[in-house]
Amino acid sequence: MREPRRILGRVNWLGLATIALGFALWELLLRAGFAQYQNLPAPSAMASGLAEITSSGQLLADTLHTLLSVLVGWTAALVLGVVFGLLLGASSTLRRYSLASIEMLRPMPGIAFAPVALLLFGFSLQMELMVIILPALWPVLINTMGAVMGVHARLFEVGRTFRLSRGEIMRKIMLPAALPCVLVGARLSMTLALVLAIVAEMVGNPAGLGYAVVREQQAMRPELVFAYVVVIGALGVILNAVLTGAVAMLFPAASGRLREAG
Amino acid sequence: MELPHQDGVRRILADISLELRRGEFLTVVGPSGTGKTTLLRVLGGLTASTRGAVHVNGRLIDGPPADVVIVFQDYSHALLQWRTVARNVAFGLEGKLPRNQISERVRDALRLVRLDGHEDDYPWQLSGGMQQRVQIARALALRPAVLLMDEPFAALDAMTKATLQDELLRLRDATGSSFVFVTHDIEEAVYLGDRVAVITGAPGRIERTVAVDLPKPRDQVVTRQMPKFLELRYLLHQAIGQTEHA
Amino acid sequence: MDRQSKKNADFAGQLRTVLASLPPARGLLPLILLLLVWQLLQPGPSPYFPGPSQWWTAALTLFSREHLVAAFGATTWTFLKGLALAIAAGTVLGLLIGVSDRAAHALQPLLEFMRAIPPPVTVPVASLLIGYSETMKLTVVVLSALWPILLNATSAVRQIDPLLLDVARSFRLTAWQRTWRIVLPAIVPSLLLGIRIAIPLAIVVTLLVEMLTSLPGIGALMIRSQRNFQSSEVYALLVMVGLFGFVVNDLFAVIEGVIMRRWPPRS
Repeated sequence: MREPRRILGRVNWLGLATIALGFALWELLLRAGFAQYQNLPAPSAMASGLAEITSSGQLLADTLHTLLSVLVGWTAALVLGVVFGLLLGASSTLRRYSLASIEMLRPMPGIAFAPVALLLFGFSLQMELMVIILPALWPVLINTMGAVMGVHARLFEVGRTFRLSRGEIMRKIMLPAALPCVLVGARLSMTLALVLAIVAEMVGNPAGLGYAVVREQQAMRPELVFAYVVVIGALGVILNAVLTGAVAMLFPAASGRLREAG
Repeated sequence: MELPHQDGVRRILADISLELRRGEFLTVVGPSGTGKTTLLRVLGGLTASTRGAVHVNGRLIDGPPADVVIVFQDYSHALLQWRTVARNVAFGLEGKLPRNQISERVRDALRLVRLDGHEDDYPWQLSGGMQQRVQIARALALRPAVLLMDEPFAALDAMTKATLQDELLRLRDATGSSFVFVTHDIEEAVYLGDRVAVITGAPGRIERTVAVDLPKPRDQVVTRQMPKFLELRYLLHQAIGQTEHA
Repeated sequence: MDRQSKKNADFAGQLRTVLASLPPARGLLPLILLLLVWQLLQPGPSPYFPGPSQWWTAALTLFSREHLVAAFGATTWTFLKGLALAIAAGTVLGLLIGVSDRAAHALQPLLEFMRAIPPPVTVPVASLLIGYSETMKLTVVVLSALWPILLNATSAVRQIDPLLLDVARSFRLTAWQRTWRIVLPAIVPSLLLGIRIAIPLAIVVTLLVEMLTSLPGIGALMIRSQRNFQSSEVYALLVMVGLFGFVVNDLFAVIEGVIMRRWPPRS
């Protein structure tokens, strides 16, 4: 347990102070009537707005919907990305006959799928998933493919010199060696999935945090809009932290290597 | 083990004929690019020779033989960085022995290389010299008849190298395995070997084989000062063609 | 520079390099097969899966009604303007913040927080504060593209080799000269990386604003076609957006290559 003093010393006091100062200034200016941006809420209003939506359960409902969307979409993207990434990584023939297609599909912004998804699925969870899954699978696929291709040749030779079967080589050498890169791809994919879910909810499916922001904006409740924005930002940070923590717990060796590699 | 052979479209090796006796420490020395590594890989069954054959204990090999293990130079790529030291050493035995026997062998191997206490560390937490010892332990755990070592100490600093050289000799005495040790360091070749084979030229050929009759146990300071040592060193330099005096 | 790198240095040379580094064309087979099979199974119009030939005719319709060119122009123009402003602002702000250690330290949590907010979310906020206008659209695009560039610029400034600054001092350069001749060139690689991240963000936000507010642009067209259940138009626009993204990315790679020709090759 590190001494409290050392932890205190590492906190960015100046940074926190700046943020606090900023908030205080914001509040003060609005109250004093100096700044009167028509729809800019005071931080105090934001706070009470936050309390309001929390107690009414609205916040929970919206958050859960988005969370469901993100998790389902991300899992699907993960599975598809890993499977195809492994196949492409292992076979140069497959790569030759598909990389160009991938390069053409990859730059397609997820948002461009929203109208098509609306056409096909209307307002529904499936609409969101369609927007999430394709763009979110690219980081996983590319990283997995790169990971497999990047397994050092020496490791395979070690497998052969100890007379391992091909299955054992795959299981004991290739998969563990590729894991750190795949995990990085998974993390990128998660961040992307959240953004895509939000976009899908703004433009299409009227449910979840993305829709909540638009809904409150159209209802002219700026303090709630800001409150939801903060929640979305926080959700992103939390998801990332949970994922990193889960990886550290499940794969201590991999996260050690990740940390080592910087 | 013995083999005569040549290799490949671009002839890397030609007319190699070697015999390794039980418990012998054979060093193979020569400048870079002469095919020393290729020779080791052929002996280890990783590469097939186009002509000729390798016999271990009288049997012709086809692929990596069971009682021959290679120790590679790049330890960080040859070890499974995601496994603990103990699990790395156990790697070659998995599925081949019951579990309690495996842990016994792992313990013995780690004790031999003086890494007991590091069972639960990960390779990336250890120094270069220690990682190389783990690789050696992994090889020894199999109780192989022959260890093939491809410039294993080339990536290490001078002091670690010296320590590991002596450890290696100690290991040879303790286990009775035979060693084929490839190096480009002439002094290392003389210090470690019972016999030194010199490979030069393109395609690489065995220029000559020299018996090293220096007293044992070898000592880093004493042995390297002996006139016989210097004589052998000069001989080998000549054989490689690195001196001006004919 | 030797003759080969001189050849690569100009725009045409870089274009050739980028084209050469694209994956082999036979990799397009899956896409082509998909389109062929789709066309065979569903050649005619359909509310959900119109065939590729329908997309083509829809594209021609959109084009002939002139909406398409104008919309494309509007989207591209907003995107370029927004990106340019973001680059300028990001560089200048990044320089100012990076130069002062205290400022960097003080603003860091704030900047990281801003970066954590997904860019699409800023659109409704801006609509609230600024209303529905081209200004709002531009503001949002600039804000979204700003953070990667600014953060990269800041960290690059702080990571400049102190030796270079010593050189500036020993040659007694003024602050302006030092900034122009040493600091700016030093941070260019990092800036380019930030721009590469910012480009897809800018594209997404531009389209998003158009979809949400129906301000003129491809996004507005897409939503309008979707609401009118003109499925072929939607697909046609999707393909066009994809091609747009592809071209922009590769164009940037070429420009990046030209600019970076003076730097030692990246490992």
